[in-house]
Amino acid sequence: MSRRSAPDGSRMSAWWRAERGFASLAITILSMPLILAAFGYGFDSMRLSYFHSFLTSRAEAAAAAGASTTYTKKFSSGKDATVVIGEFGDDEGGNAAMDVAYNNYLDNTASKRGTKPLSCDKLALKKRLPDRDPTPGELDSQMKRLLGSPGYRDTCTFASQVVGDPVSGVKLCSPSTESNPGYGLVVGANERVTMTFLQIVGVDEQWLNNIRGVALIRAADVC
Amino acid sequence: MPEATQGVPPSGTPRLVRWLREENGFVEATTAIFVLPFIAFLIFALIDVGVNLRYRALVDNVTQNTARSLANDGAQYWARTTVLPAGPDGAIYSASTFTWDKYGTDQLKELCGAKGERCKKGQQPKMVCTVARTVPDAVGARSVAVTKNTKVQCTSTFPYEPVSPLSKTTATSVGFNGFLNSPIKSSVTALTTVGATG
Repeated sequence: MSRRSAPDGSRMSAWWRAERGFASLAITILSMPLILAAFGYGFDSMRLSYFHSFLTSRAEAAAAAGASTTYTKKFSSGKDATVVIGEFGDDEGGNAAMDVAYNNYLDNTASKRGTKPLSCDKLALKKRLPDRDPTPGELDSQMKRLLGSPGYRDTCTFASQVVGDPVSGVKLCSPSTESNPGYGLVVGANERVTMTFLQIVGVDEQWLNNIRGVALIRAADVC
Repeated sequence: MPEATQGVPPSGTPRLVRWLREENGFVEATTAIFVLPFIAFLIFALIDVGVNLRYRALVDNVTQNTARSLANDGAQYWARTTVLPAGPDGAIYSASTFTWDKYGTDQLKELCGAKGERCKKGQQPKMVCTVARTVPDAVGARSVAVTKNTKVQCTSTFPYEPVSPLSKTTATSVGFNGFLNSPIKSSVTALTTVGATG
């Protein structure tokens, strides 16, 4: 059927009946999944990046909250009093401080947990005893072992660890050096984020492993 | 203009019109009418989502920074601990009126842009910070925490305005209308490092 033989006003129906017209519509419909998949991939990638940044800032807040849980040990021998992370009677394990960090992290992420983007309902809390080898390289590898080792990577975990030795007044006022690397709290988390568009192609969730926060104790500027 | 012969448009007819009248041209134009607007809406929606996520991260950062400062000082303002910061105009805040949530609100207002283009018309961003347990206010002291490890919370609301006008309707925003036009909210809790009694 040629265009000129179709009745006036039915050019669309002539187009529809023509094989080329139908083919172009079919191609449009068939290409939609690919266009939507590309869009969904871009959207979910941006969203994942945002959640990584969000969780890192919440981990830092948790580390700061934990590191602020301190008490002071005084010595009758005239030595400087030392600041210890934890609660009095905590045998310098800092368990109370690690609990504070954990609870603060849960508080700050509660609005996004459960059926919302963060699909870990509960986080297994893993604590580590104070480590006396606080150089940055060892600290990093220790946290990776806590969070990245088989059984902990890709599991809903919150890890916390006190690093360094309790500090005296003099050390509090000194800058960080290799011999005085600081005393504080490190936290880490493995979280699971639900995808939106990528669920269509079978990618339901993505893990964000080894999200880290660090807080060190320091005195005020005037010492 | 010469008269059309059978099946052939007159030679003086514009090329675009001749192309549309041909069956191939009509097919291609119709395909483009179906596909191109949809792809354009997708692209604009993706750009707007990217900018929105960036602003969510910025609002989060400001809220986090303010909550941390409040926790470090142990108060909305305390002459003992607070080092007064500079405001958006570069001038140091006045000790008689400064509070950390006023500082946070001013930081959020800066995110609206020089002409307020990123905030909805007639709406202002706001940050409200609370200290769980405080001692009575005194001169040079506002909302001072009773003890250290007192919970403080800062909550921000930012009336985000999308970049593209297409994001204002459901059809042209490809369903992202609600996400792009709702205010950005952020809340951070922290624990004070000092308090009035220890």
